[in-house]
Amino acid sequence: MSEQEKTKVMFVLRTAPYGTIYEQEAIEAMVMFGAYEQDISVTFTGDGVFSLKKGQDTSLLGKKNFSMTYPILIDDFEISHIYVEKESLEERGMSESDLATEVEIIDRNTLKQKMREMKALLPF
Amino acid sequence: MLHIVKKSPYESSAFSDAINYIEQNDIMLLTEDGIYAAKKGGKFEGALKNLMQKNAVYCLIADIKARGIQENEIIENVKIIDYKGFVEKVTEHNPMTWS
Amino acid sequence: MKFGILIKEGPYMHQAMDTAYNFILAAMESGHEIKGVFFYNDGVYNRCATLEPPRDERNIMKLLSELELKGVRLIVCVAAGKRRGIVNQTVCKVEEISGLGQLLELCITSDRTITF
Repeated sequence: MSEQEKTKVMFVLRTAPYGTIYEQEAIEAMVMFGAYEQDISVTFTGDGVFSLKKGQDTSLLGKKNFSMTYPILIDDFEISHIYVEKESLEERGMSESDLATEVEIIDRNTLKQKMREMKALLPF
Repeated sequence: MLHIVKKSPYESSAFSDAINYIEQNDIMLLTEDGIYAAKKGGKFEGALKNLMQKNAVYCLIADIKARGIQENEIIENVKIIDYKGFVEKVTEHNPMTWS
Repeated sequence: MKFGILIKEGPYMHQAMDTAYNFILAAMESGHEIKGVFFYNDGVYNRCATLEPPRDERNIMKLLSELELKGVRLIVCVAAGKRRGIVNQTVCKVEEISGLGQLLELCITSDRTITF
């Protein structure tokens, strides 16, 4: 399939991890979507950036540690891009060195433009 | 884009996040608890008026009526629409829901 | 125009399903096509067969079934459903259960995908 024929879909994650199931089920959807050879991207903005915080240890919660999933989304599940919004990181006292995985840090204005290229935006 | 805000601005960052992402020619629709952003005299009146200098803002009549807010309590220039109007706005702009 | 609908919240607790229902009715009255309604997260509870609100209250499950009779395709996510006990024995209609690929399919085939 050519790049032009692919449908562009962006997951927009705005919720922090663990407090709700949104991040977990968004990941499950990303993994499935990756199998269909479309152009799927993921954006972390607002409290969503907390999902990428390094050092997460969920052993006392009895839940899976989802931050370990992101490195394999691009390599194994064909997600095109994982973006994190620079302003949301800064507002929360975080920077690149706080992140559990390598993602594309982009500013809000760039992200706004990318959103406008999407056919569908899926907020979680 | 059509920015749909469905949480109260007093409770959630949905309204301010939507403002951060709004661009020229975009519009905002306040629904459900989001309509409280359009109430006169509230904390967000300034932010909404500032937004309306460049962008059109709509709110759903079903949601304001249900919450006891009269049309004259809605900030001037906010356009009041029904579900058919909502549908029309979605045909004109790609939607993003902020909750 | 073709619309795809994503429902992420359950019935009653949130207004999402009510707003979506009114949106769908208005869209159909205006001559638009609903390609499908995908239930995800707690949204799967909207298709629980045993919902039984008081008689004088709207029955969301039945309102949705009426939409289905009008030709609206309802899709309950199998994974989100299993996690919450919405399975073959508890869903309104077994045929509604399907995979997340159907949500992507809605994004591809609809002019607009709208989340409630």
